[in-house]
Amino acid sequence: MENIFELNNVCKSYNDFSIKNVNLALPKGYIMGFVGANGAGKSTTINCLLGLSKIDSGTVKIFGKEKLENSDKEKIGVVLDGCPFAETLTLKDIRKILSNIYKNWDNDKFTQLCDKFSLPKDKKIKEYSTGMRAKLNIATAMSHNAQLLVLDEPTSGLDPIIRDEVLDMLVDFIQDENRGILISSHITSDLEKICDYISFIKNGEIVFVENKDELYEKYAILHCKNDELSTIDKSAIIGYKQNKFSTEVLVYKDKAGKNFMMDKASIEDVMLYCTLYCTKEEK
Amino acid sequence: MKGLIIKDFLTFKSTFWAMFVISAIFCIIGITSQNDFLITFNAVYFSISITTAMSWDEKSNFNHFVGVMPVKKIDVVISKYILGAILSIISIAYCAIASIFLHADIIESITAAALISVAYQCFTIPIIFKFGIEKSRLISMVIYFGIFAIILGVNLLVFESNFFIFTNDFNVLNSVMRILITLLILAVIYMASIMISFSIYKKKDW
Repeated sequence: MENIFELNNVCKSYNDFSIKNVNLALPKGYIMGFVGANGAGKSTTINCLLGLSKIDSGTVKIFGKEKLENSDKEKIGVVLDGCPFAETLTLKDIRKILSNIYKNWDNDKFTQLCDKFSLPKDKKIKEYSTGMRAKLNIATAMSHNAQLLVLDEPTSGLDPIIRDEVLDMLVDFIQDENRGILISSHITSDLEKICDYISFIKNGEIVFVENKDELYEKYAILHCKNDELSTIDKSAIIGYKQNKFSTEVLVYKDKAGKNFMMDKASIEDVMLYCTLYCTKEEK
Repeated sequence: MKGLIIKDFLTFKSTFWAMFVISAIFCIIGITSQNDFLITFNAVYFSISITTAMSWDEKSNFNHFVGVMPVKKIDVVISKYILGAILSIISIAYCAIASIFLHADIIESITAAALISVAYQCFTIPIIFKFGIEKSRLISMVIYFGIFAIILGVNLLVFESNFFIFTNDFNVLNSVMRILITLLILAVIYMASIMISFSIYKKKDW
C-alpha cells in the first residue's frame, strides 16, 4: 500500500516541549484519527507534517516527496486552529482571495458548501459565531480538489447535526482511493464513526498507531472488586480506576484471562486510562 | 502573489475611504494654511498603512496558514512591497495635486513624498518580519529617531550649516536629473530591503 504521508523518526524541540521519534504513516484511501491530551503534541506533529515548523531530525514525506512544490500544496486541504482570515473579510472576499491563490479552486463547490452550511454571504468574519468559522474552514479546505485533508479539530464548536453532515462528507471524500484524511479531534465518538486508523500521542511520543478494529480487539475494560486487582496479571494492565467498591482496568485482552467481565474499550477509554489512570510503570 | 495582494486590499478596504478622506482634509488644511509639511505628512500616513495590513495577518494567524497554501515565501515578501508601492503612488499623487494648489515645486514635493514613503516602508517591513508587529513599533521608533539624530548631528557638527544640506544640492539640479536620481535611490532602497526581508523570513517557521 502506498502511503499518502509518512513521518519517520521526526523530532522537534521547543524550549519547554518536544516531540520525539514520531513515526506516523497513512496509506492512501484511509482516514486516520489522531488523539491525545491537550499539549500532548498533536498540533506540533501536524505543523511538522505540513512543513509549518522545521523539524530537528527525521524525514517527512507527502505524496512521496520530502520537498513540496506549490503544485503539491494545491492538493492539501487544511483546517487549523482558528479562522485564518482577517475579521473584516466577507465570504465573497474569501472566495475572491482563494480563487486567486489556488489554481484548482472550485467556486461552485465552495458556494455549494457555504449554502449547505448556511453561511451568510455578506457578513464579516467578526460577526460569525465559532461554529460558522469552523464551517468556513471546512468549506475552504474542501473546495480546491485536495487529495489529502489534514484537519485539526475541524468539528470543534459544531452541533451534532452539522458534525454528522461533515463526517458524511469526509466519508464521501475518501471514496477516491488516492485520497487520505488525517483528523485530530477530542470528539472521539466522531473518530470512531469514520476512522480506519487511530494514532495516540502522549507527552510528545506516539504510544500506538492501530487499526481501529484491531484496537477494539486488543483492549478491553475489565471490571473487578478492589481486592481482586492484585490477581490480574500485571503485564495485562495498562491503567486502572478505583472507586469505593470496584475497579475498572484497561487491559490487553489476550493477557487478562477469562475470569472477569470485560467490556469493549472505546478510543476515549484508551486515552483516559493511558493518560490519567495509567499505572506507575506506564507513567 | 495576486491573491495575497487582493487579500491585503480587501482586508482594509473599509478603512481605505476613511484614509482618503483624512488625507484630503490634511491636504486642504495644508493648502489653505500654505503649510507644505501637512502635504508631506500624507506620504507617511499612507505608508503606515502597510503596518496595518501586516498586523491583520499576524492577528488572524494568516502568516501561519499561508504556509500550507501554494505560495512561496518570496511571494509573501514581495506582495508587501507591491502593496507598499501602491500606497506610495497614492501618497505621491496627493502631494502632487496639493503642490499645484500651493504653487510649490512639484518635483520637490513628489520626490520628497516618494523618498519618505519608500524609506519608511523599506525600514519598517524588514523589522516587522524579524520582530513581529508589536515589538517592531518600538524598535522602529528608536531607529527613526536615531537616524534623525545622526543626520542632524552630522549636519550641525560637520557642516555647521543648514539642516538638510544635501537637499539644497539636490534642488539645484534640473527636473529630469532629480527624478532619475530619486528613482535610482528608490530602486536601491527597495532591492536592499527586499533582500533583507527575504533573508529574515526564509529562516523563520511559517
